[in-house]
Amino acid sequence: MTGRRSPWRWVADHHDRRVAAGILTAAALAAWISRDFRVSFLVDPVGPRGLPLVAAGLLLAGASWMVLRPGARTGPEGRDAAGGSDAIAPLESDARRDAGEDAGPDVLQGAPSKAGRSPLGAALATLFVYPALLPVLGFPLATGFALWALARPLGARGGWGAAVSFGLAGGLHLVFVYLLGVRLPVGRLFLAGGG
Amino acid sequence: MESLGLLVEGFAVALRPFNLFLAFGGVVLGTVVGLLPGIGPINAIAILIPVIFAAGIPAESALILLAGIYYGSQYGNSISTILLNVPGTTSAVVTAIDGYPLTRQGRGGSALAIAAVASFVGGTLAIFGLVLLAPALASWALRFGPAEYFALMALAFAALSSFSGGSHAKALVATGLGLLLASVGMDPITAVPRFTFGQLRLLDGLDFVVVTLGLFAISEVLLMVAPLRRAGLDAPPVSRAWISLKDLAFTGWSMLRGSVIGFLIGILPGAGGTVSTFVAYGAEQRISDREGTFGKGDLRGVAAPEAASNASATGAMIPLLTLGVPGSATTAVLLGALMGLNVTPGPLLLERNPEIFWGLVASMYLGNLFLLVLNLPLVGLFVKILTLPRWVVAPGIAGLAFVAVYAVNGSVFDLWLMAGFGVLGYGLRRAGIPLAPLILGLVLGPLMEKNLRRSLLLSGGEWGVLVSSPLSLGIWSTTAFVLLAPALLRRLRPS
Repeated sequence: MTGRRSPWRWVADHHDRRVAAGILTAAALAAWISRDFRVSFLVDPVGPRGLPLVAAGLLLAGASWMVLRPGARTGPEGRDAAGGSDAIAPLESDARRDAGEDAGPDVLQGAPSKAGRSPLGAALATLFVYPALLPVLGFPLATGFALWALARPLGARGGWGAAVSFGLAGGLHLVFVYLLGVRLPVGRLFLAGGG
Repeated sequence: MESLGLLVEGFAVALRPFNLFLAFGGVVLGTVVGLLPGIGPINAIAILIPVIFAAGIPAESALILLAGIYYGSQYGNSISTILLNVPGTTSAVVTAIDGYPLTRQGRGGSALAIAAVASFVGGTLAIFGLVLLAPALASWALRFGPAEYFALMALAFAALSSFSGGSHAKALVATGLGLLLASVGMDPITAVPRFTFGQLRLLDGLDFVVVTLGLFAISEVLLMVAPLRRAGLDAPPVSRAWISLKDLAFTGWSMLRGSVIGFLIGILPGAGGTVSTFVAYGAEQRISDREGTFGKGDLRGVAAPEAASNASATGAMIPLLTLGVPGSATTAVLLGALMGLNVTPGPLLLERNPEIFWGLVASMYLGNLFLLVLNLPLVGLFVKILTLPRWVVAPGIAGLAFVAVYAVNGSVFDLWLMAGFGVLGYGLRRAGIPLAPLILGLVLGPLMEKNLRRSLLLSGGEWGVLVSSPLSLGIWSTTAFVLLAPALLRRLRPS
């Protein structure tokens, strides 16, 4: 192959195109699965496949557009990611940082963590392990640990992190169980005779 | 006029001690929550929905609480925008243009005061407009059949994506995702299970609270963790917001103009705060900027968008309450909350439950009043909240989300779902894909599908029924216009 980039490189080179590739796959998968949404009798011309296929079509259209015309690599994502007044958009300061400019005073309380993968990994692990621990340890303990695990990569220093996290968990437990009457798990460990 | 009598009854509902407390509490809660960088009305409302269900608060009181939060969080946003140049929603971005320079000139207090008064003026005028228009619109809306509703919802989508100003491709993707998520569960007409993968729990569809909290709250937590956001937490010392008569006189007309623009744009389903603030600022600049002071700290540059923002937030309640069609992500979330409370907004709401509607309108007015009275002296306190470190805020949000989601169904599976949506939301936000069309798709998708299929069933499969009435033709033409309008608006935007 002389000098021509392989199509894979062309896709992989731009962030938007990578995202679009993922979306196209998802859309194709959704359309494939919705083949089975059938009824033996014809009720209405749209049928159960209508909505999923329209959705897949929109995904296909949008993703193809993204592949052909990927957006700016960096830029005011704060505005681009908006969809209206209540759209949750990354803050402008994020956008300016992405664009390489100084995003303003970095007055972060607590020690900044080395940015990147591992804090995210820890947070994700926490979010997915927590539901498993909840029925075992009960709400106050499980939530306390989970919140602590989230606070640490954000710079909480030892004792304070634990205190605030367990305090929050305990407070939530009190408010929701005793004030609002919501039932929260007690935890198999604490139930007499075991769960 | 009958409406006035009903409004008086509405005040009777709103002034009940419990409801007053809720209105007040909602406004305070909303302001505090809106202050925090990155948290907006959607999170607050989503978190509170299960609380409201669990506490057994009656529907009209719950609405009052939600409305208080809705308004409070708009103003909380303004505080962090003006003082720190950290707008948490795009509609607040315009306020920063003149607001932040004013802070740097030491006039932050005046800016905050004018923002509070402008919000009040905008909200009050808009409520007035709502009182006038809503009953008329509701009785007119009774002529809406499923075909017309389908057209109207299409208009909402068109308007939202048209005015988003961002990448249309990404808005399409977001809408598609929302519709796909909406189709999970049993098909409403034939009961065929869609995308349930054998999970019984998914037969009823994805729980709205789980999706919303995952997409907004959990993704926010993840965004705080990685990478670090640099919210400027150095709050300048502002202990009180000062109103001076001179400032008021100077900005009076700006407030009025902003209110009218905001209200008119807010009514349109799909167009919301962002458009109204941009248009109001642009118009105000064109009309009153004689010496080139806009952009350098002109109070009118704060007054106009703030009035517009609050007026459009109120205006957006009109299509929600009278037609049952949300015009923005936040009103879509409100719709989800209402449906969960067994209140179906629409023309029938005014007929069957007028006390809910008018009680809400009256308390919206009270909420605006509370905002004004409350926020001026308390600004110093609110500013201190801004200095809460991230390692307190993130676990706080996460803890609230955990308990709220568990409170919905008592299901651990929901917590996993929420975590999954958190990852999705994080990915989408990093990719620059807007979440508002997604929420709109999630909430409107099932409604649109039902209306479309119902009208086709009624017409015996004739697709022509969709454009057969003058009303639906009118709506489709408006949709076409709306799709072309951005070209017009570009001329009014501040350069």
